[in-house]
Amino acid sequence: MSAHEVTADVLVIGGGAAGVAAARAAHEAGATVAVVADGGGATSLGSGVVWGAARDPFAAWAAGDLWRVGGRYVTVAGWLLEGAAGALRSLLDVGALPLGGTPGVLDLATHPSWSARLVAQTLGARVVTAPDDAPTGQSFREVAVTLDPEGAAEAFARSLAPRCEGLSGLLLPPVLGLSRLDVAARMGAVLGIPVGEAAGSPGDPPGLRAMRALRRWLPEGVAVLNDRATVKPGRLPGLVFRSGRLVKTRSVVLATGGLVGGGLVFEETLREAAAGAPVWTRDRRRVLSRAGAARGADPVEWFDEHTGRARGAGLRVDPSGRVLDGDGETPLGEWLYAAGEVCNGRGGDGVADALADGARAGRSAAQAIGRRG
Amino acid sequence: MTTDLAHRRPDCDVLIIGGGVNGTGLARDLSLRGLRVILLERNDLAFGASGNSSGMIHGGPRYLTTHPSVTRSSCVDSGYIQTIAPHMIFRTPFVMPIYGHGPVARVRFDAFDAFFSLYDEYQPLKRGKPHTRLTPAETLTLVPGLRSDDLYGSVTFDEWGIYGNRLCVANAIDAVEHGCRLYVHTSVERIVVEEGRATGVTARDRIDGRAYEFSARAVVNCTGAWSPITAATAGVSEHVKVRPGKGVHLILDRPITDIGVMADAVDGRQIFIEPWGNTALIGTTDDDTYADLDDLPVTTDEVRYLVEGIEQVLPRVRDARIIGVTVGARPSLYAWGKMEDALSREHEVVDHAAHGAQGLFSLIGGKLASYRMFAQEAADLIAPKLGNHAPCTTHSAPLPGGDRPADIDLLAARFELSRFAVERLVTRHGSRAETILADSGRRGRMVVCSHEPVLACEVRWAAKHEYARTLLDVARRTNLAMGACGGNDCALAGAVIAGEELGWSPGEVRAQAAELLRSRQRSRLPAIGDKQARAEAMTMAALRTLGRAALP
Ligand SMILES: Cc1cc2nc3c(=O)[nH]c(=O)nc-3n(C[C@H](O)[C@H](O)[C@H](O)COP(=O)(O)OP(=O)(O)OC[C@H]3O[C@@H](n4cnc5c(N)ncnc54)[C@H](O)[C@@H]3O)c2cc1C
Ligand SMILES: Cc1cc2nc3c(=O)[nH]c(=O)nc-3n(C[C@H](O)[C@H](O)[C@H](O)COP(=O)(O)OP(=O)(O)OC[C@H]3O[C@@H](n4cnc5c(N)ncnc54)[C@H](O)[C@@H]3O)c2cc1C
Repeated sequence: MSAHEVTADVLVIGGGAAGVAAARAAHEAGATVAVVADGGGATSLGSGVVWGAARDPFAAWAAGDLWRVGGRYVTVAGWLLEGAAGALRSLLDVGALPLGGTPGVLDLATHPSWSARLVAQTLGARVVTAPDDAPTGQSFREVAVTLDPEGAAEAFARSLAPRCEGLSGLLLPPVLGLSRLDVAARMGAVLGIPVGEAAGSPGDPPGLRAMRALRRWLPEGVAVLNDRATVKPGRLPGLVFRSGRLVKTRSVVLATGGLVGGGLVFEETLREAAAGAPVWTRDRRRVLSRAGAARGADPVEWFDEHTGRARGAGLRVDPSGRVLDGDGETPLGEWLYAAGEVCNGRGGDGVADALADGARAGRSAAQAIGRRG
Repeated sequence: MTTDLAHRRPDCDVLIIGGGVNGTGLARDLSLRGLRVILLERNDLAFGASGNSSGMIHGGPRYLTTHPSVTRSSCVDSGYIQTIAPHMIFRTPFVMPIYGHGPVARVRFDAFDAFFSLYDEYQPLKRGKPHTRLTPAETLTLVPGLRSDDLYGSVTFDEWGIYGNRLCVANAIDAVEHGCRLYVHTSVERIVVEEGRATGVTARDRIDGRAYEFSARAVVNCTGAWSPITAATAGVSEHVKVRPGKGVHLILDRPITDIGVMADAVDGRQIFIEPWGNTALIGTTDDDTYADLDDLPVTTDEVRYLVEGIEQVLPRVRDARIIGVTVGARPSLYAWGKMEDALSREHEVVDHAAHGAQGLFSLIGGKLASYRMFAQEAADLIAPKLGNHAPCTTHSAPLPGGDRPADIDLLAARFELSRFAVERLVTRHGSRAETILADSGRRGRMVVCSHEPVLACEVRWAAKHEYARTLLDVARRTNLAMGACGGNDCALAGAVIAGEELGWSPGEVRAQAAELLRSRQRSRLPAIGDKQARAEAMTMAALRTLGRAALP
């Protein structure tokens, strides 16, 4: 084996929610695992809110130690309350905020989409005016980065303390750290009340932190390669070429994401980028058809012009997560699995679904290797 | 239905239907003459042709040979508009490249040269420069990237552009400041005609559903392409012959040329690309339309037609991203059987007294460029009938913000803003930019939409002082979400600010943001290309994020 070669039972392509869950599940099922990822996908752009994590047993499993599931968590999306079964731990659960007492909402001068007044109105909370020396900036990131350093969040909390008397919790805009996951906890410790933040928009700190938390959740021993991968479905048992280097593997999980992640690309027609697997779209009658066939090729058809929603597009998989061929019935290869947004009908369903999907596919991939021997 | 409108004291002297450039222009003219005016607009100011035109305040060289009177009147009025609203008008020189070789190309070149020499005679009326003849080398220096093979030479000519949206808003606001009552999103359902007289209208607020009755001494139908429909409610539609010609523009993500470029479309019609703020416009199509005027469709074919035409002269148009389309219906005067393009854009004030409806008038046809003159003609006819003999002053009285130039550098320094941000604000508000900035705190001067850029205080101003009632209305007035991000970065922020001003509930704020995103996305759909699909997916995810949230 040359230095440039990697060997793994299961190779996961994609480092978003689906990819990480697949890697972890495959690892737990006893396989050796490598992940190849080409930057952050939709997962890193999310608002950091996780919907319905407890709906699916696989998601519940995946959420096991990353999320706390079951409790009465409430998280704030943007500035409206969102009932959710789980909230990213790193986000801090604002769960404690509205469940009794009077929470405060900090009127911090940041991005103009933050209106403490409106949030407070929604929560029945009190607006807390920020001290003069509070950090400010034009974007949430600018502020978040100032709270990362040791001591900074604590000092900020001390300056807020006199204004927080009698409050049951404090809600901030999405600025609770850019690379550190513990800013909320550090501030909460000083103030003696839970500190939470509202979810952000694409590219805001919570999504970026969610990505960090996920990566951290990858088991030790799982190799992560930063590269772009291509798969040749015909080349059993799945030799994957990556910028000249070679990965020897026995199973591949495509967790390459949808249009945002780069797993699907739109170039005259809709394509799956890494393996060239057949892509399916839904037309108005919710019938699946091959993309590239007359209707699927026209983006105006592909998006619903009235709602602006994609009708759903991606790979078709069987219940174990194996990618199906153009006939929609037979697997494209015994060893090729897919999960997350790259799959049909899952477009933008969210982190929880991607996690569940990924876990299922990762486990199946590892178990199949066992069966294949 | 019978009403007693005729017997009560009229609510106003003149009730104007339609908030396009003609309706707002007339409202201003009559208000300045001291008449009491009510203006009702079904959608929003500039919702129709006026906000979706090519924005050229020119005489239209295309009318030079067929309708020279259109050319002259537009040029004269263009001069006036420069006097009353210098801030919102910008010089746009055009180049007309001529391809081919030998005597054929030469004859074409000379013909255009002669044509524009004729146009030169009108140019001084609008402070335009005379045309020039350029060699291929000179042409390529002027427009790098122009297709060079077979280039025989080019002719340049000088034009002016204007933001139609702002022109309508400025006219409406000035009318309001002179006593006019303005209702947007309020549609006239019926023009009431009693005993041969138009006595008022019934109308409905399309947002809250409230019904209104307004009595008036005169009613004026200024509903552009809608005018036959409006006239039908008074039974006079056969005297309002308007042929709606649908026109589509494409908006590119950046101004890929500093100078307008003319090109021939596949069918030989002339189309163009012009710089438009920090974007570019490609226009335009002209097809008869029978579609719903409140929701005109744009097809992928129309997009292709325009892109392919421009590509012939400016291949790099393919590198740019189409970030939206605009569509409007021209209210052209009817002329049977002619090709759409040859239809006259001349205007006509129709007095329906002869049709059994005294006191009812329709303004049909017209152009952005000659709106002021059209309004004056109508007012000169209507005001004396109401016993008002005040002279017209709209050619010299400045529009709001047009009274004196704003010092962009000074404002930028004083309010710690980029020169660019101030410049864009000044194009929209002229001297009032200072008031808008001075009224706001530091947070008010934050950039909400970095693509335009739009400041928080401008969004607030539009909601508070410019009769915006929805976030889309705000966008029409400020250019919010009209840049490359398509609202992904700014819809929520814009909605929060407008919502604080307009008393929206948090749920309403979200709904308004989602509506703006959806509308921007619909505007891009016919033009989705390879580069765009990813951005669309982002928008959809953002829409879902907005849509999901609900109160617990
Ligand atoms: C703006 C936005 C906001 C959202 N907000 C929320 C939210 O608040 N809550 C929620 O639950 N969901 C939200 N979603 C949806 C959610 O983010 C996605 O459904 C989910 O993250 C999809 O995960 P994924 O792992 O399938 O794909 P992705 O996260 O897109 O991951 C794909 C990965 O594959 C990699 N990749 C692709 N091709 C290759 C290749 N050839 N070689 C190597 N690597 C490759 C990419 O680099 C990336 O790492 C949002 C989405 C967007 C876009
Ligand atoms: C694609 C295109 C490009 C153009 N380019 C140029 C150019 O470069 N230069 C130029 O000078 N001209 C140009 N024009 C022409 C110019 O835009 C129009 O002639 C002019 O804007 C017409 O104004 P208007 O007020 O009559 O109509 P509109 O602007 O269409 O206004 C009519 C209004 O009436 C409202 N309305 C309808 N029904 C009712 C009702 N029942 N109650 C209340 N309100 C109602 C509508 O909502 C609408 O806002 C162009 C037109 C188009 C379509």
